[in-house]
Amino acid sequence: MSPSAVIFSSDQVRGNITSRKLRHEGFRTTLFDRVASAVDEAAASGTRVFIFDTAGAIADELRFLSRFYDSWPDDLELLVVLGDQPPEFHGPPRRGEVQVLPDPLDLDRVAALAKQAYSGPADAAPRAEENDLESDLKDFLRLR
Amino acid sequence: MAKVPKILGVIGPKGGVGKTTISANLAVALTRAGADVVAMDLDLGSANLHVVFGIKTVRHTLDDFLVNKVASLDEVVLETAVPGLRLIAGGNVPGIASLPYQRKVKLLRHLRKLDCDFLLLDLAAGVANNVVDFALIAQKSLLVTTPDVPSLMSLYSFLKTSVYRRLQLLFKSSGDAELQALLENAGDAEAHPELKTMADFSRQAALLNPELAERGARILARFDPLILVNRVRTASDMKAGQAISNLMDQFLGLHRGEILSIHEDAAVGMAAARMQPVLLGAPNCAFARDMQRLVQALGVRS
Repeated sequence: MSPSAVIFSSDQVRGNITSRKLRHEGFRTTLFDRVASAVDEAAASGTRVFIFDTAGAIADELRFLSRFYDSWPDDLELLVVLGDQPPEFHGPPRRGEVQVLPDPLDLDRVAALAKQAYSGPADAAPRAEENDLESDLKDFLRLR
Repeated sequence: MAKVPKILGVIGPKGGVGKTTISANLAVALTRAGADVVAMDLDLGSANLHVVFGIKTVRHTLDDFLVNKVASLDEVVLETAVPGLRLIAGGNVPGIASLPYQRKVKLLRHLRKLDCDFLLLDLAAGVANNVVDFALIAQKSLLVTTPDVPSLMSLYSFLKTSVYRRLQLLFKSSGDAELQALLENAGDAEAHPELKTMADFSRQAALLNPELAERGARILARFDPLILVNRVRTASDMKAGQAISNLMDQFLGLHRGEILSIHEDAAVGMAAARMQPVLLGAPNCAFARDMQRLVQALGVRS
């Protein structure tokens, strides 16, 4: 089971370099530029790491982050907020931890935190490593 | 002093994924960032890039150059209504898609002499050697897919063919028959499961010829494509790029590459009906914003 991270960034360049850094560190990453899709995936995938980049984010997207913080999925261990406009959270997180990393983007720090989130045992068993689409492709391309 | 163009290959291994629309609009977006651009229709035998610009009269096409009707590539370059953008239209001469080797070499030699910042090659669908060879000469490959399984399968097949073609050329030019044979075996993973991944192949190749195997690995390590997932509508669609990227990583040893999503946008269909690039008629639509992101991802700043 390889570790995973879900990333939201409305800046595709920042999102891609963050995603690539984590992939090089052995993470499976899913990158979104639509916040609703990102929080859905972070809740549904069973990942322990959700990275939210506030660079270029609009007020609605920051409100999504606040709501996500309040709902805090069971499997989540770490929320990393990147950029210079961190939203205000009310009270401590339900569990796990929040790390706010202002610009400039420190990819090594992001990777170190994400690894740390996977260094301890999870409360719940993680879900499938690969998504259905990847699984279908492996079948059709005879890569099993 | 003449410029040396940076060559961008726009590749859509499965037909109908929006490759030509992206080529045309990327060309416009690059000119808006201040670049001089030549967009070239290399969809030989089935060319239609000029149609996206609404150009009905084409005096000379690329085919005229390839069959020696005109002596210079400059003679087939068309001006467009977009400042900074010129176009080389393709034709429909029967059989032109199977370009003989000598004509391909001639074309490649002339392409590098075009005076522009970017030469954008709109390549044909499929995995024929002609297409793969033009993709390999590009400094940056833009791989266009839609999020559906058949399109992603075609993309993967194209990548695999490109990797094998590039290594095959290297081993052949180096005269190493053993590595050529090993590579051929690796192409048939069902018969040779011990060579299922490029990592498996590299390990075996290093035992036979460590220096050449290392050169091959370095070539693959430099391959840095941009994957464009077109017509993205849902959260599930957004996983397509990641899925193909994971397969590239795991089976083809291609560890680099960025993914950009291009969102489904009704403005694209309307622009096609008007035979006009989307960026000219709807410069603020979602598709236009995605093209601007693409320009940024290519490292171009206004």
